[in-house]
Amino acid sequence: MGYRPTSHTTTRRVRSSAKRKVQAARETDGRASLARDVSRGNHEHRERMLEQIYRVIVEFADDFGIDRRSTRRLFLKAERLAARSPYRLHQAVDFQTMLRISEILGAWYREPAFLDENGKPRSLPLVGAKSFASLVNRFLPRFRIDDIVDILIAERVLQLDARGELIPMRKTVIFTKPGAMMLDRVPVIVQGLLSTIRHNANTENQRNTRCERLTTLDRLPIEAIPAFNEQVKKLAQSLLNQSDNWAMQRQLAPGSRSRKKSARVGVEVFAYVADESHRKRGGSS
Amino acid sequence: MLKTAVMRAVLRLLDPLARLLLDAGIGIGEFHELAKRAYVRAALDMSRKDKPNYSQIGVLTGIPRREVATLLENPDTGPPDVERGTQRAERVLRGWWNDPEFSDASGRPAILPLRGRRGSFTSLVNRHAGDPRVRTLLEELLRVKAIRQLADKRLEVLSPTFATARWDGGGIELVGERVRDLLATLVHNLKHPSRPRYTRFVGNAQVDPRFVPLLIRDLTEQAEVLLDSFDDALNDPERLVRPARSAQDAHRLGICIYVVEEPTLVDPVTETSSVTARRGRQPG
Repeated sequence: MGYRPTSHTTTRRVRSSAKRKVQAARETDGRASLARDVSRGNHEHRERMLEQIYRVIVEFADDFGIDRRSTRRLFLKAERLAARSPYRLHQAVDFQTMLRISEILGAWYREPAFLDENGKPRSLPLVGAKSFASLVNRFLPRFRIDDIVDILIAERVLQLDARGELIPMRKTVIFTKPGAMMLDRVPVIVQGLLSTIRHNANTENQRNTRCERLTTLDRLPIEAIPAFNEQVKKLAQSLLNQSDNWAMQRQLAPGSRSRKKSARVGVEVFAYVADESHRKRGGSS
Repeated sequence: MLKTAVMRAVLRLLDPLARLLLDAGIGIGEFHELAKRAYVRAALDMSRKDKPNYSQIGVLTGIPRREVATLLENPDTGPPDVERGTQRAERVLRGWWNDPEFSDASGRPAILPLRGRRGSFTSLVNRHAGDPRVRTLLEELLRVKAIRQLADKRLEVLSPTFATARWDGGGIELVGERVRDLLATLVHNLKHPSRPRYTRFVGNAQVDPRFVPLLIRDLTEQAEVLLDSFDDALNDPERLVRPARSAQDAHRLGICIYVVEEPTLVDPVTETSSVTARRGRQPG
């Protein structure tokens, strides 16, 4: 990669010694205040952050067909609710269902009874001793098996083979269509990200901070984006598998009577493509 | 003491080698000839002189001077060119067996047409090998019988890996290369403990056989991700020496991960062993 100078100044200015000192002092002050602002952030910065977050949310609401009037009404409602009690994960009821479905797939990919000699998940009959129904009954006992099958086939998580048995197509469940589970997941992601940022902002000791890592890659040709997405999915799955393996040896057993305090922890990985086009947004004012 | 340790180590590594030689129909006489050739080459390498001193090599190896001269006058052809294309072929086969886009309704690898934007051999190669030379890879996979072409020209995959599909000259030469690389690294570390090359072994001799397929699957998947990432780093054009009119210094750099699997027995619990042998973790 070639070196590119960042400064384009080509002329030299000759200054007197005194002028140079004053100028240098001003520059030093300016730099110090910039550094201070960048590292600490003042009230103005915080307000700007919040404004930009609202802006992103308003754009997101537009994309999901929520008009500005409703957006405003919902904001006021959220403000009232926040005054009463903070948002908690258990409120995302449909997201909990998605987690249970993930556990079904987790068991299918992890338990020897459901694996073939190559470690791949066996195709399972709908009902019977080692069947898909036995997995659903274990993790989602209140749901109808047919409903779960229909949803998972529609989302291409499961497939029916020639014998009418079910095969999982992937290890993870991420619903991409805007159904109840997908929509319930969005505030969970936002809450997870913001809680990590808040925790890290309030933590002095670097060892106690939570993971928050980012890489941005400029100048990626548009045609390479599908390959980029595949690559990140592959790496992310590896990270999640390794996190699962690490945690499995340390988690308390289900229904454990241990007095140890426990918490739900998680890792969310996503890739993004920054949309640099200046599209005009609609919506009522 | 040291010599005893070396001899015990050599005997251990000769076990799988002897099995390979017996499978290939090579008796002890031919192996003896090969061993003499290797001894002479090693002694020559250690002397580091432009002109070989047959007498000195003879003294060092215990091989008669005249035989040393004969062996050095008939050198073999050097390292075989067996690595070319191997990694890309492995990635293509892995994609064919694991990527849902290239699976049929039962989740098995699909029979693919050669061309097409999606679900074809060409799209498989583009996605998993990142290589425009589709024809080269096709010919290589057909040659080693990892895939076959059906009467209607579509392609069927037969083997999940490139390496095990090859009980032929190239495949066996590759075994020699891998063992040579591993031994070279381990011997380097014995001789240069202050600047060792990375080696690490993790294992456990008490794995429940029911979990072996699952663990092998996970180890393989994670190793694939890691090695693909190293492959990208090692093949970045900016980090490679481009051929010029004159020879230039370069290095061969690589990493190899392999799975170890063999049946073991967990000893019955006795009063003394129950405390000391709870876990079968093996140190690296």
